[in-house]
Amino acid sequence: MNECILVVDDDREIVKAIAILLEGEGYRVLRAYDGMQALELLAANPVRLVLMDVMMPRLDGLSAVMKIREKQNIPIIVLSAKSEETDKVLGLSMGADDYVSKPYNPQELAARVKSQIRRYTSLGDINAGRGRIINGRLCYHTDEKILYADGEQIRLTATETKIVDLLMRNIGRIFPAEEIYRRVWGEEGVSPENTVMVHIRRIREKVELNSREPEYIKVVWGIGYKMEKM
Amino acid sequence: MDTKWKKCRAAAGFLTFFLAVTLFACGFQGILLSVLGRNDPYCSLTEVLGGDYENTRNFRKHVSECLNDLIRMAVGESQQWPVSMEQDENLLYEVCYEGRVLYTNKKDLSKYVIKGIQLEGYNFLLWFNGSTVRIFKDGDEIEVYGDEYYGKDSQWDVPGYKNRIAGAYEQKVSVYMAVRQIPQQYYDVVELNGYKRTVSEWYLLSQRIAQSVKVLYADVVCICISAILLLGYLLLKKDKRRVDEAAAVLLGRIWVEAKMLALILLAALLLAVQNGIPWRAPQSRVILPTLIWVIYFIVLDCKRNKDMWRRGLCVRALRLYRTELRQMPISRQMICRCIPPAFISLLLCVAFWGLVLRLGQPYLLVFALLITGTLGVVFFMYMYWQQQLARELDLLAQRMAAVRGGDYSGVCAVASDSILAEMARDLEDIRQGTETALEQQIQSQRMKVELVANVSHDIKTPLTSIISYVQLLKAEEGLEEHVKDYVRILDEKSQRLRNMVQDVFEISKAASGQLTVNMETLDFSKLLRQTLADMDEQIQGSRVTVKAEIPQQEVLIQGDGEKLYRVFQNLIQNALKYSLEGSRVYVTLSTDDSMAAASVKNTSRDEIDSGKDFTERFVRGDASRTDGGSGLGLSIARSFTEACGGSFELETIADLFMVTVSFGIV
Repeated sequence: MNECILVVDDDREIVKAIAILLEGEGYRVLRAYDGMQALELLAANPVRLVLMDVMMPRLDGLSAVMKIREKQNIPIIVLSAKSEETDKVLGLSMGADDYVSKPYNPQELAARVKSQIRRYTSLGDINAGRGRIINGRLCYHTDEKILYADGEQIRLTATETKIVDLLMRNIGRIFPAEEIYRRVWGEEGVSPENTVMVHIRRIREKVELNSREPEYIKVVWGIGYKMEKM
Repeated sequence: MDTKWKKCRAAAGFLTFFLAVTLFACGFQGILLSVLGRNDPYCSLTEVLGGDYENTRNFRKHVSECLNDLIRMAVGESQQWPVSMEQDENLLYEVCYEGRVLYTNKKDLSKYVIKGIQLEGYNFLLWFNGSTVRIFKDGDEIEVYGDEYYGKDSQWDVPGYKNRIAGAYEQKVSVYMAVRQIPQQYYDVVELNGYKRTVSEWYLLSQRIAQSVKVLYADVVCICISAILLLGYLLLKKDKRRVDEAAAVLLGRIWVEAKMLALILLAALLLAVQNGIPWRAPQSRVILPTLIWVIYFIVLDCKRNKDMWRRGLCVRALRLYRTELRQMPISRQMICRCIPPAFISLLLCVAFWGLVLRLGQPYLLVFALLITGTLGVVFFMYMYWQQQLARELDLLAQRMAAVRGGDYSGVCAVASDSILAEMARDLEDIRQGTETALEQQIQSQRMKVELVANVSHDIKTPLTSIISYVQLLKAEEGLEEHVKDYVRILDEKSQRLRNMVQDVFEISKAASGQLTVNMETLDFSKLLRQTLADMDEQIQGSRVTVKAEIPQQEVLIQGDGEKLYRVFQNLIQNALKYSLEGSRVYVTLSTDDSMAAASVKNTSRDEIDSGKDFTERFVRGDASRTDGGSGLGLSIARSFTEACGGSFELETIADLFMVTVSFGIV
C-alpha cells in the first residue's frame, strides 16, 4: 500500500507531527512548507492525498488548491486555524474535499485521511444504482439493509439498522424522536427522546469520523433528528 | 337619588343667591338714585319721606310758573291761558289790575286770602300784592324770600326779591291763589275726535309723590327680602359653588370673542332701553342688576378659565395659520410672512396717494411720485434678496434633513458668496465629522472582532503543535509513571486552552453583535429533552442526579436551536460541575400565557459569594480557577440567549444557584 500523502504547512513542527501520525498509520509522507513547494512536489511525485494549510507564505493554501484542481482530481483536505463556518464553506468551494480545523484531533485527522483515500480508490465500487442510496461517504444497500462507510461495511444492531434505514431513505427529512420510536419500535415510547438519542449516539460512533462533531446524523435542536444531505 | 338631591340643593343655592343679589341691586339702585337724583322730574328722598306734595320742588316750581303766567296775563303780555288752568279746580285764582278783577274761577277769593281764611280742602294760599308774595300753608305763613336775593338756591321763582323787583305795571296787579290739599282729576275737551283725558298738573304732582312713596317702600321691602334670601344662601353656599363651576365650564366653552360681542350687544341694548328715559324710571331698574351679573360672570370666567384667550377663536386661527405655515418649506414661509406688512404698506400708499390727489398740489405730486418710486424699487430689491435668501435656506434645510437622515453623499449647493455660506460650510464640517466618527466606530468594531479572530488564530497554531506532540507523547510507550502523569496534565490543560480560545472568540463575536443566529420556530420542551438526552452520559457519570420537569406538550418559541443547545449545555455542565455531591439538579420548564421559562437550579458545593456577577466574563464561583472551566460558560449562555431574543436571569439564594432562561411563546 504505502500511499503517498503530501502535507503542506508553514509550521514545520506541525508538518512533522502530522507526518509522524500518518507514518504511524502506514502512509508515506511528503513535506512542503509553502504553496509553491507543494505544487513542485505534486508535479514530481504520485501523490494520493494533500493536507493543506491555508495561511502560508509565497502561495497560500486556497490558491494552491485552485492550482491543483486545474490539473488533478486527488482528494485535498484543508487544514486551517480558522474555524468559522464561512471559512469552511470557502475552502470547500475552492475545490477542497474536506476541512479540518486546528487544533485538530489526531484520531479524527487520521480517520478523515483514511476516508478520503478509500473513497478515491474505491470510487468505482460505490456507483449509485438500484437498491443503493449514496450520501457522501455513506452508501446504503436497501435490499440487504447494509450500510457502507467509505466502502467498508458498518456493523449495526437490528434497531440501529432500522433507524439507519429510516434516515437513509429520507435524507434531509427531520424526524421527531416520537416518530422514530413509533416507526422503529412499532409502539409509543415512554421517553422516546432518551432511547432514540442513545441509539443515535451509538450509530454516530460507528459512522461519524468525529462523533463529537457529527456531520451526517444531526440533531435539529427543538425539532428532531435528520440525515444531512452531503 | 343622592345626585338629584345634590342638584336640587345646588339649584336652590344659586337661585337664592341670584334673587338676593338681584333684589338688592334693584332696591339699592332705587334708593341710591333717589338720594343722589336732583335734576330729574322725580322727587328726592326727603320729599318722598315727607309725603306732602305741596312741599316739593316741583310743586313750588309749578306754583311759581302759574303766578308768573297770571301776572303776565294781567299786564297784557300774554293773551293765552296757561295749559288747562281755566278748568282746573285744583287751583283757585283771582287776578286784579288796579283793584279791578280781571280773571277768576272763584269769586271773592281775595277776601278769603287776605283774611287768611281757608276754603275747605284748599290749604295752600298765595297772595301777590303787587310787590311781594305771601304764602300761607295750613294757616301758617311760609318764608318766601330767604336772604332776599334771587339765586340758584331760591325756592320760589316769584317777583319781590331785591334783585327781582316787580315792574311798574306788575305793581298794579294783585293775584290770589289757593291750591287743593288733595288734588282731583278732571276732564278737558280738546281735539276733534271727541274726549281726550287730560290729567291735572296738580293731580300729577300729588300722584307722583304718592307713587314715589310706594316705590320707596317696594325698594325697602326688596332689600329686606334680599337680606333674608342672603341668609338662606349662606346655608347653601357650598352647593352654589358647584353651579358656579358648571357655569364656568359652560362659559369656558364659549369663544372669548363671542363673549366680547355679546357684551357689546348687551351694552348697546341697555343704552337703547335707557335712551331718553330718566335714570329713575322703573325700566331703568334692570340696569344695576344686569351690570352686577355681567361683572359677576366676567370675574367668574376670568378666575376659572385662565386660558380663555388661548382657547379663543383668534388665537386658534393664529395657531392654525402658524402650524400651516410651519409645514411649508422655509422659502414659502418667508414669503407668506411678508404678505401682511406688504398689504399694510400698500394700503398706506393708497391712502397717501388719495391725500395727495385731493390736495392737488403739483409739487406735492412730484414729491409723492419720487417717494413711492423709491420705496417701490427698494421693496422689490428687498423682496428679490429675501427670495434668494429663502431659496438658499431651503437648500440648507434640505441638506440638514438629508444629513440627519444619514445621507452623507453630495455637498450643499449654497452659493459661496451667500450669507449662509458659512453655515453651509459648518454643516459640511459637522457632516464630515459625523461621517468620520461613524466610519471609525464601524472600523473599530470590525477591528475588535478581527483582532480577537487573529489572536485566537495565532494562539491556535502553536496550540496545534502542543496538542499534536502531547498526543504523540501519550502514544509513547515505556514512559515512567510520573512522566505519564505530567503528560496527562499537559493534555488536560492544552485541551482547556483550546476550549477557552474557542469560547473567547465566540463571546467577542456575540459582544460586538456579529453573531449569526438562524431563527426558527422550535419546541422548547423538546430542545430541553434532547439536550438532557444528549448529555446523558455526562449526567450519568456525575455525582449528582438531574430531575427534569418538562411538560409533554409543545412549547413553541423562536430561537436558534444550535445556540440554545449551547446555552443549556453550558448551564447543565456548570450545574454538574459545581453541585454538591449527591444533591439534585432541577431542570424545569414552566409556561404561562405568553412566556416560557426554563430554569436550571442546583445546590452549590462551595459557598456562593452573593455579590458576584457570574455572567461577567471569566468570573467563577471559586477565584482560584483550578478546574477545567474557562469561566466563560455563563457569559456565553447569556450572550447566546440574548442574541436569540430571550432573557437570562441569574439568582442565588444562599447555596441555591438558579438560572432562568425565558422566551416569548409564539
